[in-house]
Amino acid sequence: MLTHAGGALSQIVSRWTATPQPPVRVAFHVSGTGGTVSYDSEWPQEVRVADGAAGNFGYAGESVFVAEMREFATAFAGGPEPRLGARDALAAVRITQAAAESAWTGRAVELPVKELA
Amino acid sequence: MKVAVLSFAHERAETYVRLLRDMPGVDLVTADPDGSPGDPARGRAVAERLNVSYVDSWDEVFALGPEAVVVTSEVARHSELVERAAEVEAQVLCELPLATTETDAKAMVDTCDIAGVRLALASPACFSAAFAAVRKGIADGVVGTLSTIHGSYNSRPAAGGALGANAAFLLDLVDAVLDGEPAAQVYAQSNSVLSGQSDVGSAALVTVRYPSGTVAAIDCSWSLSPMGGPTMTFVGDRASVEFDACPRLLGGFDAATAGERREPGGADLYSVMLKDFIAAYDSGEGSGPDGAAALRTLRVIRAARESAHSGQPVEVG
Repeated sequence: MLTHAGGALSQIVSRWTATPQPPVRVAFHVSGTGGTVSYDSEWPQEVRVADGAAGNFGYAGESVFVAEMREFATAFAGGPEPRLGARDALAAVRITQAAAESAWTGRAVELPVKELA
Repeated sequence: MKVAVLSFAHERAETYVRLLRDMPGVDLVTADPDGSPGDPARGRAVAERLNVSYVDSWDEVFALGPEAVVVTSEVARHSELVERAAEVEAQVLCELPLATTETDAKAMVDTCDIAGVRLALASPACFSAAFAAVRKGIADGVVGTLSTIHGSYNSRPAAGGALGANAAFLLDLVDAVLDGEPAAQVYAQSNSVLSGQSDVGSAALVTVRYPSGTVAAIDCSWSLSPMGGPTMTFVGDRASVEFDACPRLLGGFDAATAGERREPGGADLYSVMLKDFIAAYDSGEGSGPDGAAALRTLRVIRAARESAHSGQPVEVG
C-alpha cells in the first residue's frame, strides 16, 4: 500500500496464480473527482476465439516489445525520451525495496520526498 | 501525390481531410461546390478552418489531375464524381453506399474497370489488421467448416435508415470472409420504433443464406447507446472467432457525463484505411471492398428491403 505525497492512496496486488492460465493478467482501477477509469487485460479486444481451441491463432496488435524497442531506438537517434526511463526504474526499485522492508518488519516505511514544486 | 476530397457533405469528410492533410507525401485539395450553392464562401471557410487548399468547382478540382480522390458527397452525386475521377485516371475511395441503385453502381464499377482505375469502398473494419488476422485464421481452418456468422453494428447514423446506413459495414465483412460468394436468399424484418417516422426503418434484422450453406444473421439497427463495432462472430464446427472492430479498452464512470466511461481500443481504422488507400496507388494492392464487392452488398441490401416490405424471403439471382 502506498501513501503518495499528494495525498492519493494506491494499493498494488502482485501475486502468483495457481494455474498458468492466463499467463499474465493486468488490471487497474483509478478513482478521482472526475470519475473512475478501469482496465482489465482479460476484457476481449479485437479478436477472440471461443468454444474451441485457438492453437497458435490469435491477434494482439503490435507487440509491446516492438513499441518498447522503437521508443528506445528513436530516443537513441536523438528523438524524445522513452515513456519509461531510468528515473521510473529508480522509483520502482526504491518502492519495492521499501515494500520488502515493510513486509519484513511489519511497519510502515517512510521514503524521502522532494518538495512538490 | 495529389489527392482530392470531394465534398464536405458526409459526416466523416472532415476526419478524412485532417488525416490526409497530415500524411507525408500527400498534396491535398478539397472542393464542396454542392455544399452551399448560394454561398460559395462557406466551403472555403471550412477548408480554411481545416488549413487545406480549396477550389470552387468540380471542373477545377479534376483539372488539377488528382491521382486519388475520396468521394464524400451526397450519395446521389457519387456516380458523377466517380466517373469523372475515372476519366482523369484517379483511383477512388468512395463512402458507402456506392450508389442509390444497382444500375448506377454497375455503371460506376464498369467505368472504373475500363479506365483501369482502382475503386475501393470506405468500409473501415475491412481494413483492420485484426480482421485480416481473422480472415487468415478462418482460411487456415481455426473454426473448421464455417456454419453461421452473426454480427451487429448499431450506430446511429447522421443520415439514412438502418439498412441503408449500417448493413453494408457488416455485409462487407461477411463478403470478405466468404471470398466474394454471392448470396442466394435474403430474409429481413424492420421497424421504425426508434426513428418515429414510418418511412425510416431504424431497426433491421437480416438473414442471408449463401449457396455453400453458410448463413449470416446481422443486426444493423440503430441504438440509443451505440457501443463501437461492428462486431462479428464466425461459428464453425471446431471453434468460433469473435471480432470487434472497436472493443472497450477502458471502462469506469465519467463524472462529467454522469454516465459510463468507455474508451475504445483497437486501431484508428479511418487512419489505417486512408494509409492503405494511399499506399495502394504505388503497390496496386489494397484492402477493403472493391466495386464488385460493393455490387454484391448492394444486391443483398436491395433484397433485404424487398423482403422487409413483403415479409417473405427473397431469392437473389
